[in-house]
Amino acid sequence: MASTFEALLLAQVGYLMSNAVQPISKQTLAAPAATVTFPSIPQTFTSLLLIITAQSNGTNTNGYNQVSVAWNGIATGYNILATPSTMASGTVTATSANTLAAGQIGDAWNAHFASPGTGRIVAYFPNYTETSFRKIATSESFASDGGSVGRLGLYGTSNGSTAAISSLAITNSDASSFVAGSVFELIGVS
Amino acid sequence: MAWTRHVEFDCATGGEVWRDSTPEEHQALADRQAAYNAAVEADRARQAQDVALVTQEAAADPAFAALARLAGIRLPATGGAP
Repeated sequence: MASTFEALLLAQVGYLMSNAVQPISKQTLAAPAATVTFPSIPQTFTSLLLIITAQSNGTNTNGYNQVSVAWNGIATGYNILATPSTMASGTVTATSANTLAAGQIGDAWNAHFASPGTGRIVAYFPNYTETSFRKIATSESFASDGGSVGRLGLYGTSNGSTAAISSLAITNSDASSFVAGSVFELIGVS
Repeated sequence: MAWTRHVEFDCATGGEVWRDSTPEEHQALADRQAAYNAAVEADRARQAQDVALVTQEAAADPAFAALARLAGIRLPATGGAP
């Protein structure tokens, strides 16, 4: 698991070093929000990176909430492959699911354990402006209490629509919200 | 709580719009989670069924068990070790 994760990170670092990157929007929530949407995404880049540092105000006993993304207002037909690993046990559970209302890209630490944890997600949207193929996102996620409890995962999601991605809506699970201070950054890669 | 707040950060204008959800939108978010949980549970059940089938086949056929182990599938000790 660790080697796969590191290989993906190195591939992304290498990709970034050989391409121009430009911040599109970096936002820190001033108040809790259940959905964070980036409309009017410029169509001038090759790929997008979405970097999230967030905590959820959810209280489910897992200690984390799923973070999902939907694009262009599409609320059906997302496929996911999720391979999260639980830090305490090291157990990896692979899950695939279809026809979801949004595609999971990671997890955010929630309020159940009342610990100052967070979730970090790096999601990559390749060739988001082309219109011939279905759109995908791949991501790495790490949600933790800052200590030995947490959840590390690799995620993939796709949707059958071939339309260029012009908006992204990031949603927290359980109808809970991202807390104030959560940071959402959208970056364009040429 | 029957509503949540939602925010849009417009990438073209830099504008920021906050709004409260309707109860229906809030319920839709809750329903979305239920659908996600159901899909994950269905996948877990399918995986368990696959494991049961492979285990059953391996118990009956040592050659199959050997191939399964080569493929990285963990079989119980009673799975017909070669």
